[in-house]
Amino acid sequence: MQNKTMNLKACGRKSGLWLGCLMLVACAGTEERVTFVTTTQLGVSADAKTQSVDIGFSRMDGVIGPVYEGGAVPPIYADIHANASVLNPKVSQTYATGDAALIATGGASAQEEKLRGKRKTMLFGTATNVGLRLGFAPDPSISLGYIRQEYSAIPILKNGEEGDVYGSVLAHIELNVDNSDYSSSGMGIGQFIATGVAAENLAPLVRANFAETASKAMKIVECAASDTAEAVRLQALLDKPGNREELRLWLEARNIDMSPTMFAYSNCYPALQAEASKAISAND
Amino acid sequence: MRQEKMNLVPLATLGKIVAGFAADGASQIVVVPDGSGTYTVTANFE
Repeated sequence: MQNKTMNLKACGRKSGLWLGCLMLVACAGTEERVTFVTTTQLGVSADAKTQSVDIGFSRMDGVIGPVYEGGAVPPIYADIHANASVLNPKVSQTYATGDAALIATGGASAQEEKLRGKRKTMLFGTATNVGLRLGFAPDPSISLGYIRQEYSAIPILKNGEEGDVYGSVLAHIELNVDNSDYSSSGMGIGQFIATGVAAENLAPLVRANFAETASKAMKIVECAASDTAEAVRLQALLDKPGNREELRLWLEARNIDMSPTMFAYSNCYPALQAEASKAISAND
Repeated sequence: MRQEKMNLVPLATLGKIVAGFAADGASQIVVVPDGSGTYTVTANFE
């Protein structure tokens, strides 16, 4: 392990792409460990060493590990929600392995953890940069925006007759997102990493956050323009003062989450347009 | 957040629909021609 770590450091110094190196080093024992890496970039970056310029959103996720005879693979999970804004990025990002991944995605803990027996070294870490970063040596580089790297290299260990066990780690970051209980620090950034039982205890928080995020997701209504007689009649009524507000209230009373313009000018609710026209006309 | 997207909008009613979405309180309105003489109007509501 020490030699592999040394190789990783040497590789990282040489190329600057230490996550890629980590994966290469971990390849030496893909049946004994799981290596899980994500890199995310939202913004602009240029690197003289790699002679590349990235503009916009880029992300890489990678897993190297064993697959069992029955087709099972160790559980891992990573997600990101971002607004794709370079200057004011809003990001919610999660990274989880083992039972923490199962719990965060709605499942239940499957393996029993015990801090006894043989020990092996694991690696887990994150690196985040928000804003402007300038590099001067060994090669010039510049990045503006949000960059995050997450990695883990966790050995698979035997657990007697019960099969192998894969340890839990959990990392989560929220940047300029205001709907999280655990990121309300008064700053624009909330972040934690956790391992073992601590990761499993925090995983339900992440799962609850998913539900809240889903409920706040944008609702999209799509219809085609309509010029039927009933639609045209309702459109004419909308031109009269006060009728727009009246139609808005009429829609609200029927739990139709749609603007008066969309309702009157589209074919979303053709059967209801006549009814709405009658209701509005009756009040004239 | 709600997004309302109206396809196949003829030029004759395009102005009224855009003005209507604005009157309804849309925070953003995007008009894109679809290449067939009609337009797609997208309105975002906070």
